[in-house]
Amino acid sequence: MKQSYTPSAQPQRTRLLASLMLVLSFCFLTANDAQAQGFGIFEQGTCASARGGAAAANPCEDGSSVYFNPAGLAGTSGWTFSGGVSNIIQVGDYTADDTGESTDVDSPVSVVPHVYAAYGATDRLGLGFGVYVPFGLNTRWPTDFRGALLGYDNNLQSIYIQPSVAYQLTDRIKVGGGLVVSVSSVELNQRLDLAQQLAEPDQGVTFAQLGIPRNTPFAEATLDADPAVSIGGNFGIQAALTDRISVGARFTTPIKMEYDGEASFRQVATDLVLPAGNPLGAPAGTPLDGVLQQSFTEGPLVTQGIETEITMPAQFVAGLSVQATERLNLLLDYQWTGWSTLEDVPLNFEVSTDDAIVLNYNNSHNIRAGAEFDIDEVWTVRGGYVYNRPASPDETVTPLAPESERNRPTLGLGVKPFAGVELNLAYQFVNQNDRRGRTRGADPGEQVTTDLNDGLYRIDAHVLATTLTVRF
Amino acid sequence: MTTFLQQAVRRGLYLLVIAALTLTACENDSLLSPEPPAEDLFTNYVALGNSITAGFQSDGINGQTQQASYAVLLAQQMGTSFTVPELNLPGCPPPLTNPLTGERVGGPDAPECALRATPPPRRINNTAVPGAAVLDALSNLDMESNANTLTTLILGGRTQVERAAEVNPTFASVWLGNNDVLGAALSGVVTPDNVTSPDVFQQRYSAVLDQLEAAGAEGGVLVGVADVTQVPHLSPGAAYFGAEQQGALPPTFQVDASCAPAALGGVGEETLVPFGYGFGELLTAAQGGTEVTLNCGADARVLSAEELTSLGTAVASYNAIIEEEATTRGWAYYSPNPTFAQLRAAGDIPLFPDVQNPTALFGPIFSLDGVHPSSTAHELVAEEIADAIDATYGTSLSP
Repeated sequence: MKQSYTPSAQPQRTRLLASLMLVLSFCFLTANDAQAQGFGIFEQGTCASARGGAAAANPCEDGSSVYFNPAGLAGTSGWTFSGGVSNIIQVGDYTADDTGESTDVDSPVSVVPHVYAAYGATDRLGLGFGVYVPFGLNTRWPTDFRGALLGYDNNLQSIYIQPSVAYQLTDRIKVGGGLVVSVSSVELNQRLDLAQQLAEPDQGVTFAQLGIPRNTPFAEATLDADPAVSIGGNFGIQAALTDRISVGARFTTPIKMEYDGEASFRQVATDLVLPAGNPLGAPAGTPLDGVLQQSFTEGPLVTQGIETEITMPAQFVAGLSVQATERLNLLLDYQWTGWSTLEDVPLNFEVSTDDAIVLNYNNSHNIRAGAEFDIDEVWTVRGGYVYNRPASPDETVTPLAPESERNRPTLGLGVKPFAGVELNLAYQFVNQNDRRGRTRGADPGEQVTTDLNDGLYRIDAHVLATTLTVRF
Repeated sequence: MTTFLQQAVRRGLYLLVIAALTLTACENDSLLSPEPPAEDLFTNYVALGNSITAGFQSDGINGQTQQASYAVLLAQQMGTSFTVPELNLPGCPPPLTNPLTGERVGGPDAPECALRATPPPRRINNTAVPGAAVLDALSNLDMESNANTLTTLILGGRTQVERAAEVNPTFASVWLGNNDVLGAALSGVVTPDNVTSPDVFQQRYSAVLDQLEAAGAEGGVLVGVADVTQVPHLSPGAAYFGAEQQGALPPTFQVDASCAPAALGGVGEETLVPFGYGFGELLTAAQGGTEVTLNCGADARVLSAEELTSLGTAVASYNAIIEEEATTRGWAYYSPNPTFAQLRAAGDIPLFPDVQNPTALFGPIFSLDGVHPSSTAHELVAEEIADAIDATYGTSLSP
């Protein structure tokens, strides 16, 4: 039996506005700590997330069409404000081939906020504004993890600030777009392997050639970039083929971020002592740490400037929406992400030799299926399923982003307790296939191949999202 | 509505459980590391030792000779992963190809030391270092340490037991002690200063085993000290006497009658002449036109009967200690000496270098320095050690 819906009273609306402000305040307060699992984040709205992210042909009415398809802003009536967070809880471990030892990932809960506003200026003209984080990364491992040599605490976030406009061209076609201002920051923390350092620079002899085993950390490096700002765009089109069937598409341009920052290095004790006859010619009993100390005060490991750049990839999404029944909406999206532009992350040091994080990413593909069922005018249940291919090829699965194929079932619930107010909750289980990967970089002259892989990453995640939406 | 909602939620949860169970199939343990060896005991095998275990042959060592070590062969029989600290070709130093001319692998332009191969492993299973006595397994910095360039190249600033502990050993082989007596034998001069006393040997050897057990070693095999008087680097004085009689030595190389067999009034059968002295110094000088004389009764560089007795006593004492340690700890024990004595008796270990065949100067069992076993000998030793392990632990390493 369908329950009747009674509009709420004005005092209730005031209280809810206060609640909304509280939520938004929380989002901004935590924005600096916003962290995300994986490099691409699709959880930009709880309603859409509950549908498996399928929203290109029929965005949710919470303003998130600013991201999912700006064309959806056309036809909006009145004001819509929404804000929320997606909490990403990463779990899993790495198991080493040679010892069988496992190390648990130590990533904190990543809180990814999203804030949207939409306004129907006329029947055909819609305006919108959004702040969201479509690209982010936060992976943390114990510092004594062997993979710490590739990174043990790495943060990257790109906040997209997007004013948008949309227009209904015909009764069935809408277009929209927005300017994206991306504000991005990155911090990389890793240990440095003495084995890969030059012991005799003039002769090109490394410490490895003198007997220092791989994975002998002697320094910790922090590469902290200042926030960078760059410009891009997000565009969409939506067409109603019939009264029940609509299609839509979105294209987000790539945005190249150029960072300036500081690289600082701290010495880590190796406690190695040189015996008599050592190839360095040092007296017997010489602590190697003492020999290395000079590198931190006047050598290549002094605090210095660093430049790097990362291109946030283009995204193209095409979607289909079928209103199967009066209450049931079925959705299907396909997404292409142009990760192949990200071959490496250059690390151009002011003093030290330039380096690069090799990624060799491939373009990735997503399929998302979703369903939304209105139980009544108050309650809505949603479900979905996402399948996505990884961007990283087999040779660049590292502690930085140990990704793999993912299957992600989603479930969500929406409730409209009062007129103009909607609260959405969603859960997503990110089931990532186990994947072999590595914990070390290539030595000088060594190719980055799967021969470097030395263990198995088993990573999954849970995503809990909530969004509060208010409409006037 | 409530009933409807409950049903909807129940169906959703049901579907989620089905999906989760289905997705569990995406876990793939086959992607994990290679299967562990059949015996848990051999999961992490580590070898401690000296030049023999390291794979030193023909006065040199490189990746090829390292792979010929009995320790590598034993690990293969165990079916366990075993990493050696590989040295680049031609070696460090490159092995001899002709000990009479001094030619080595790589030719005259080869570097004295080609350093370690890269990329290096994270951990090494063969921690043995050429030149190491028992003390060197515990310390690289002791005043009596025999640390050398290879100590750093192989161990990288740690000791053998420290590197061994990094492997989390479940099983260890220890062949140490040869260099506690070998230096004296090869120099031809035996004194209390160049032979480790049994008491000190006992203390150091026990400490090595204690530290291995503390690192997790559940078992092991202890190899007795080789009878250094059996190596073909040491030739009886009588052999030099015979060579002179047969005209095999240049006229400028005189061999005193003291080197004659006992039947001819000499002590030549009871004395041993180091190759480095007899050939390296005397013969080289004689070929250069200098008249030299080998005297088995008065030459301090010749090992006398008394010195040989001292060496034999030391080796016997060491091996009694080692065997007792093995018995006490329940580890396997193997002595190579009976087999090498048989090979010497059978002529496979020559009494005098075969100068007509410089590429096999010391026969098939020893390499071209006359001290270190050949690859053939390593195969033989590996088989016999496997037998000893099988006998102690009931394993089936031997084919």
